[in-house]
Amino acid sequence: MKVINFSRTGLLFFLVSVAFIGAGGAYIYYQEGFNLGIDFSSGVSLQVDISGPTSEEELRGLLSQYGAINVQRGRAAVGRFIIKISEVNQDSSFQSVVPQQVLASLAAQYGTENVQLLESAIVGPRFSANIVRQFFVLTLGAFLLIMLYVWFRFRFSYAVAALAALVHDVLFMVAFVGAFQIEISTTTIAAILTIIGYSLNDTIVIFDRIRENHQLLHEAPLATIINTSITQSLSRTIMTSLTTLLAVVAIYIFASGPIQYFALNMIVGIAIGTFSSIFIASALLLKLLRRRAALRPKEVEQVPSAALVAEQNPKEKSNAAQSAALSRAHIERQIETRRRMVAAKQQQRKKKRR
Amino acid sequence: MSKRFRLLLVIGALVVAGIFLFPSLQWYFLFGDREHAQAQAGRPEIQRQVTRESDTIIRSLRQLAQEDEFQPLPEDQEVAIAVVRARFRENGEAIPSPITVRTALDLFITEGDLRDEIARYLNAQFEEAKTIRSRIILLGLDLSGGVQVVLEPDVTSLEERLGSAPTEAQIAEALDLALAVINNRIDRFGITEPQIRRRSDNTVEIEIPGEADPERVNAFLVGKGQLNFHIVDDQETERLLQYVARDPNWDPESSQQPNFIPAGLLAMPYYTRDEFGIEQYVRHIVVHENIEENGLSGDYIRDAQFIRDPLTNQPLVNFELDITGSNRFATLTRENVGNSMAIVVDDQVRAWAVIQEEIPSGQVRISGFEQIEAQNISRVLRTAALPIDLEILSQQEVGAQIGEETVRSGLIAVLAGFILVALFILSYYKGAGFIADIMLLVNLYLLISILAVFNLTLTLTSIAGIILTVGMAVDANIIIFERIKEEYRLGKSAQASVSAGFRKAFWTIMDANVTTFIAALFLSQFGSGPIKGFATTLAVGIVTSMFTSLFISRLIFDFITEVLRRPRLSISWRRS
Repeated sequence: MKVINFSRTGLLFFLVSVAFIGAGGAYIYYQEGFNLGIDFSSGVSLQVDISGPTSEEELRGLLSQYGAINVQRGRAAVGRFIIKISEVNQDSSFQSVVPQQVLASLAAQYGTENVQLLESAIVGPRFSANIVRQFFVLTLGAFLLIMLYVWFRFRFSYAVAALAALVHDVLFMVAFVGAFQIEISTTTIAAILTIIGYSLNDTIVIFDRIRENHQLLHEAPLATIINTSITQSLSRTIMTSLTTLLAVVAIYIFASGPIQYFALNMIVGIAIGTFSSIFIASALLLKLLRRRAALRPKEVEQVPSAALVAEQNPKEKSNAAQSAALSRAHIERQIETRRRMVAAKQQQRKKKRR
Repeated sequence: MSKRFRLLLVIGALVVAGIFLFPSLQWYFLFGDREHAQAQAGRPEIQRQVTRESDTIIRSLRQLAQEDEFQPLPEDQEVAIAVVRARFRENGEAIPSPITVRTALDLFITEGDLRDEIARYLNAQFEEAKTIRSRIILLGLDLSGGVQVVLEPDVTSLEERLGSAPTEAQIAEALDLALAVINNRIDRFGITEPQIRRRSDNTVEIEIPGEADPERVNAFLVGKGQLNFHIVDDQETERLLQYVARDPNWDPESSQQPNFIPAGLLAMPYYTRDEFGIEQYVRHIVVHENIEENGLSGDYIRDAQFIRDPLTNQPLVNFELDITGSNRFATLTRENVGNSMAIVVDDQVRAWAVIQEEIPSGQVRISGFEQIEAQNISRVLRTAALPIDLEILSQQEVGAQIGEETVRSGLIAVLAGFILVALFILSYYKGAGFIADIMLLVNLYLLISILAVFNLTLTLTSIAGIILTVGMAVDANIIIFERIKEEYRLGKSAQASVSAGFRKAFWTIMDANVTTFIAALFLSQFGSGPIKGFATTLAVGIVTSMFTSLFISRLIFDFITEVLRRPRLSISWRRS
């Protein structure tokens, strides 16, 4: 297996992603905002079952007296409708009175025995404000703590690159949800936060490999180290994404209700999280590490390894030569040799100390 | 650690998990409707049921004795049989077989004794059902159906009452009181016990499982927390008592108020509190409904203090009425000397006493409360109604039908996700994949048992959390397997590859999981119920998946390579 040259694209994908997010944002603006679910727009949502022929338009006409109203046909069964009434300039009795009135109107039209209230939700105006505030506070808190941990376990550059990838994921998902007008509910927030965890997981596994290889092959060019690391963990990345996708697709197909949207968001999030770990986090890390290396004079410890010396200057090599030289097994053998040498050195030092 | 020690540790963990899981299995698979109803009943409901059931048992025993004293106790008299056996055991006597009705009745000195014993037994049954219920995985409202309300204190209402901006402590105190009042009201609502939780952000979450009935929610929120004075109609009270004595099955909650009670009078239950603060129903008292003519509204109360009687040290509530109230109270007491007056709080008689003489001063002292209650009443009274207004932040009702559908589709999703992932892993990693699949099962088992021990509520989103955990739990295994494969490809022996693979994968898995755990932890701080459930499931899942992948599966691999000395690893479908 060859080491795949992921870093060749540089920040290209990053720019493509930014363009996508920008386009999504513009499209959201064009569509006049997000499709906010009941959790975010105060009002009443009723799910009713009406046996007998009827249609969304008919219901809308029937209930128009109650103000801003939205009727959707439910997914699961024939006679299911979701009726939403937003609380616009209504008095405080709205919450307790309107659901009863709506049901009474429906019962009058279709007969009491044919109308069944399955589910109802009432959301006050302050509830949604609380959720949005909490979301920002918690996301920022999580970001901060995660960054501290990565900084502590790795290095500052790693933390910055990981964080940038996370912000990218969140923005991309928000753009996606907005552009396709998927209903935003509390489960959307759950999906976004889960993807933060998931994408980070992905990024960390690759970074872990980069750090390990960086210590073992620190004479090799950074691009080689990073490409090797991504390639080495590629099968894991793909396998994990596939298994998680399988589980989430199962939810999307079999479950009903709000977690179906959750599953859809997750499918997008897993794809984008996997993509960002490889093409955004790693590409950024390369840029950051290179800048860091340029700022500090590099201490070069000469190691008598012909293969490594040959790779020291990336400019001397054509891409073709590089990929030929860097078969995966070859690199792995190098890493193993190098590891043995480091271990031997450490033992020598220990002996000397004694 | 030796392999034997590790094996013992794993077995220990599995056994403990099984113990945690047992009550849930018992609840969902062994218990019938009767136990379910028992565990969910509120305190007053329990008391009513115990009284009714023990009466029924006594009566049927009496009837059996009349038919034939020496017939054995029939099988369906389970409670009586259990009580009799317990008494024999207590006395240290051998249990006769068969137990005849006569021996059963003779064993107890009086019928009252037997009745008390039966009541105690039934009470213990309720308690046990409640204890078990506190250790199970509860189904959230979206799965079981019911009503959920989130309330938020309206600080401005408190500000108006206090005349100045309230401090945090004052808000907290007012909220505590409001909850005490609501708890009190809800307790009387009947069959199922609602869950009232105070969240960290000062909002209150109330969940009432069962049928979605918004009326109930409104009923306890609209109630005023009022204390009123009512004049008692002694004659009708006496009649009601006699009527109840004739018809022990009369249930004040479900039956109508007897129609011989004239209009303008109300039968109200009289409750006292025992030393634990649990309501004890005493009896019904008939009072005049109209508090303008035959009573006094609590609105006239200007202040109320908790004091102790200087002579007897009994807790007392001292009310101070305003001028209008004093005048009206003086007239009321003058006209009703010799009658009784009841103190009614939220439609329950809490205390009553005979009026000895006119009370002209506007200072009223009432005894007969427990100390805590006296303190609470005096505090609540200072603010007349709920000490702080509560606004509905959100309210959700889920019909039981929708709940069932959700459970079914959720279970199918979990099952399908699980099978898909398991097959995929098995086909890709072959033998090692089989181990990973077993770890997946163990992980699911541990996860659910931990959820049970924390008495977590299973919601739709936590089902999603479980499925996601299934997907992500495999990740640790994948990291390890890929590492082992790499080592194996370098030409190392099976044993060396396994040991190096686990060693190198350890910190990768740690780092990856700690960061995800941080995200899950923050998520679990989210006030809103569904996300919380999801995050908790995810966080627990991370911990259990690390245990299964790093500890249990390591043990299995070590066993295969070191004990069975298998030279080859079955970890891939191709040898690369």
